[in-house]
Amino acid sequence: MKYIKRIVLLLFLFLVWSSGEKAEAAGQTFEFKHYSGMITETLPDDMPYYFWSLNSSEYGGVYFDSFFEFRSIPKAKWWGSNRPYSINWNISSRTFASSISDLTWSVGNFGLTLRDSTSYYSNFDLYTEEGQLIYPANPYVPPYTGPTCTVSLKVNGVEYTITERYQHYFLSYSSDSVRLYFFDNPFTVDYYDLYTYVLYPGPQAVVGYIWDSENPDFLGSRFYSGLAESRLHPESFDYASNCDLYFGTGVLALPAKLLAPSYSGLIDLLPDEMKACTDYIIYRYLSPSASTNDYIFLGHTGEKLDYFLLMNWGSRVIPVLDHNRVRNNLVVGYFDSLKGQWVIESDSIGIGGSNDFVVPEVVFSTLSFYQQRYTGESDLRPGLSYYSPVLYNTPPDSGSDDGESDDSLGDEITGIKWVDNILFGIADLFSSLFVPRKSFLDKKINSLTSRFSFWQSMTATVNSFVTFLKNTDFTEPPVLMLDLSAANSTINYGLSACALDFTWYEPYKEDVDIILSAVLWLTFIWNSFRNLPNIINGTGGSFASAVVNADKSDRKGGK
Amino acid sequence: MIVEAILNIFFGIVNTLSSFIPNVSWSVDSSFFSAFYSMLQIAGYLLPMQTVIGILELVILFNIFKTVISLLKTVWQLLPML
Repeated sequence: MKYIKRIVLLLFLFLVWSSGEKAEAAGQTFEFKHYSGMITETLPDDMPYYFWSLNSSEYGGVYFDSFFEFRSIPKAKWWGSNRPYSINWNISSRTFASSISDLTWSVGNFGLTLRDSTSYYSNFDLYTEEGQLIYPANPYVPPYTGPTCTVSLKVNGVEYTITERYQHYFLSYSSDSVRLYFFDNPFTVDYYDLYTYVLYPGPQAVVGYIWDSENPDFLGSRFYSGLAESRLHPESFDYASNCDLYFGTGVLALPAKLLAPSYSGLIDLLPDEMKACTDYIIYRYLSPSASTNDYIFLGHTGEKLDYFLLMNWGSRVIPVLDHNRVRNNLVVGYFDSLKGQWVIESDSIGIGGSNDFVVPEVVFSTLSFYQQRYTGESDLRPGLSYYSPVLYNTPPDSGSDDGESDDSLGDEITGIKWVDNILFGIADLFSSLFVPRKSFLDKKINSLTSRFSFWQSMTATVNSFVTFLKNTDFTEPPVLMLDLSAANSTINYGLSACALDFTWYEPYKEDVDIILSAVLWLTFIWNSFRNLPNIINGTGGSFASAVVNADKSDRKGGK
Repeated sequence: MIVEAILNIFFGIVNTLSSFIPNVSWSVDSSFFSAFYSMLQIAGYLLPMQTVIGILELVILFNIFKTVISLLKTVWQLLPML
């Protein structure tokens, strides 16, 4: 019995370990967990915007151009205009449509899966050979090739895994997403929109905007980078609640690969947690006067890679420029704000809103940003090596500078390296005997999970339900319409008729909601209180009744 | 090698068992969701949804808590040295 227990325990520990490994691996992939349920025709209004396109290729004798697009930012400012909700999902073929009897495709990178292609044929076009491909005009998307992504395409029963360099990549986050991933609406406005735009190669760019679309004149912030070599990683957006910067000031951290190495370095700012979880940072700074849109790019090399972190966009107090001056060819600006005084130093950037930043100059300029109260000359940080205009890819060595001692230590241990060899050999032996290869585990787990592939679809369905709950405005009185023209009858009744209109309930809703809420909460609290023993003991309903019965029987026995 | 051999046996058993499970597809016509969400929207309008969602979240939280406690208790019982 003891051995069985041990085996069970070992298996349990292994499962825990393997699940941890898997979770870690999953964290490194690009998954749109929150959006995987979006592939329904009932997309919420406040859905993020995706757009991307694949290169044309031939699969199964069919030449494809693929394109898909989600749009749903009804209130958001979008390229200077309000666009209506729409969803487009197109794969175009230059060969005969009749040669395709079975066509599905899914996008691997984002966890999006087109479960049943027939559901989305409304915008699914297959052109004949004579047909002309017409993509929606988008002057902002020149045909550059870009980073790779994978697409599963099934043509006439044959499945292809396509790895393509996509031409462009376009992500946008509506206000809820921004709130979810970034911050909690510090300006008490309804809509923010952030999108990123990657072109590669060519005029490589990562562009991001966050704005309040209710106030089109206010552009919350904008960032821009000159190189894009990696996909963005929306799942790694972290919400930094404790960052309290200034109005109009934002900090955006992007994966290292996303930024040109030349942007690195030259930064000394922000909380430690940000330094710990970001690799490079783009820093956006709006002029304290909030009248000009200026750019600042900073880089920072931290511990982890592939994090995409946006810090708070600021407090409600505009920092006030105390004074600025030039010292050692650096423009130094001092700003008063909620959290003391901040100092910005740069060799080529105007501070104080008097000069607009010129992007190429900013990118290659020397710049530092740190918090410090100005009390005189002595407060300036002396001798910071990264004030040098030399740009680097790795952070300055913060460890010991005593290189000689390291070398001498290395010399001392040279003579006993064979001990290391033996130890490593033993470790390798044990490792090969007892530690399973990762590929082995992956293969086994994949073969197992492939039998439960329906789980993904179920998860997507549940996610769509959760998204609906999150994004639906339940305060609007619903009105049900009947489409009379769709009646199964020889007579066409024409238009729609109102079947159910709850606008009459609107005046009473607030009061009734209060009463219902009170009843619901009281019931829930009372039931929870009664169920408290079970909750604490982690048992079901039987525990409390068992205790009660035991008490009763004790009492009876006592009597 | 050793652990892999054990795992091979384990996964072999699991795979064999799972092979008896019929192929299940979960493909729901999206038009169903439109109707379902319409009904849900009506219900959501009539009910104080903030309260309902809050209570639902608490119920789920309690159940997760109970599950974790149960799991810990089970592991504790399985520990051979205790």
